[in-house]
Amino acid sequence: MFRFTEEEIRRYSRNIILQEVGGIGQQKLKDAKVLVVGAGGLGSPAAFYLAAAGVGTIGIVDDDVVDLSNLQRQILHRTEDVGTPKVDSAARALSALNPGVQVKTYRTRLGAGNVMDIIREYDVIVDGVDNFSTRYLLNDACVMAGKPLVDAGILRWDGMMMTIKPREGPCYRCIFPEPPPPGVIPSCQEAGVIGAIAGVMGTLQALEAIKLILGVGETLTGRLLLFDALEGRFRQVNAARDPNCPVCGDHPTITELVEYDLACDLPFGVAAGSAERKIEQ
Amino acid sequence: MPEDVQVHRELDLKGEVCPYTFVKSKLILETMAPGEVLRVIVDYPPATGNVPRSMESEGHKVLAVNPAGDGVWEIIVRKKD
Amino acid sequence: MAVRVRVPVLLRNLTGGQAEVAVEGSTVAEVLAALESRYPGVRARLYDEQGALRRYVNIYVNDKDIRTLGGEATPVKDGDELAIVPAIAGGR
Repeated sequence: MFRFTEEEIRRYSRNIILQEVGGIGQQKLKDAKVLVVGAGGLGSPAAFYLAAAGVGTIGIVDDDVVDLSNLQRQILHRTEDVGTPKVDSAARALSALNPGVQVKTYRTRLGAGNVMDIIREYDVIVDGVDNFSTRYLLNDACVMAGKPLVDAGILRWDGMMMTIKPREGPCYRCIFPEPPPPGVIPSCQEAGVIGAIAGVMGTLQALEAIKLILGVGETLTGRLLLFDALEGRFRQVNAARDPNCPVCGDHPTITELVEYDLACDLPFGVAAGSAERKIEQ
Repeated sequence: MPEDVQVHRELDLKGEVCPYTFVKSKLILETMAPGEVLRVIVDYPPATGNVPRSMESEGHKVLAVNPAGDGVWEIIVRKKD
Repeated sequence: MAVRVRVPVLLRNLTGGQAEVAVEGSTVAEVLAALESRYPGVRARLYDEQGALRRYVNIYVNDKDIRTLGGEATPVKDGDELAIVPAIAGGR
């Protein structure tokens, strides 16, 4: 059923003591594979807590290098990592915390051409992306592949998150059917973000993934969690699966992966085209 | 504890300290069938209180905590159904 | 029938920085219209050129999505809370 080394028993003792975990649950964590998309503000705390909990395999997707401005919230990385690929410093940080975790790195940008291949071997996907385009792509891919997806977004002092269990509950499009045109909703680069909000939401994402793996508690499925850090207030709004949803509904109209050309990383004030492209696999 | 209680498994945790006395006991109990009985040997005094308390909070029945000579105790636990 | 409207940060420049305002109305549509007449410019942010609510901004009455209620015709009463929640995508 399970077999732990002395070191593992010590390392995970606080997990094992929990009624909801025990040796059986700890083995489930060890056998689990979680993909964290984005080694940034959300991905950092999410990956850290997943590694700490003993998730056996953690995949990290990020094509970027560490920038000084990241260190205000992307706590996987250190000052000496500036200029190096984020996946490398992420792997180093996670292995230092827990050498028992296998970290698989994907130094690439998720696109319609690679997302299905990358998510295939994982049990749970954690969305730590920073733009609408990849968010919708990841949502659609996870729905099509039947993979649970823990989605979160942050801006200024606000955070929101939901856990998507394809066809059991709403997907991202059930809540927000289409992305906004470029420039309408600012990015963190334009509007700013308080670093610790990433910590709160990313950590909540790790908790959702852990609950999914253990099969305990209630996930944020059918609910959208909103956090206003300035007010210090959490609220939940209902989120229902839309039977007419274009991707997870009863008669899907989106059956191929769509990439929106929203170019959200442009400097403030520069508008981008919003042509929708279908990428041939 | 009645004489006829059958012990199915014995766990020697001499030299072990809390909370690992409970953690290791719990891990063994998890592999046992409901209703089976585990005998845990400890020589760490706080464990004689901590292990039974934790076991009972999980719903298991502690049948006995007995001195077993030379600073050693036995804790007899029946796994819940 | 004063309804409390939670104003997202994105619209606060139109409401003088206020995070919560009280307006009158007996349906969601009336509340949003009242919002526009008091804070011009809100309507353009919430509705597209065809007069439909924008799909990246959700409206909740007492934490329920109006799309699961009666849409803009959803009745509201004194003391209800109407929250305007835009999608946010920052993550890195």
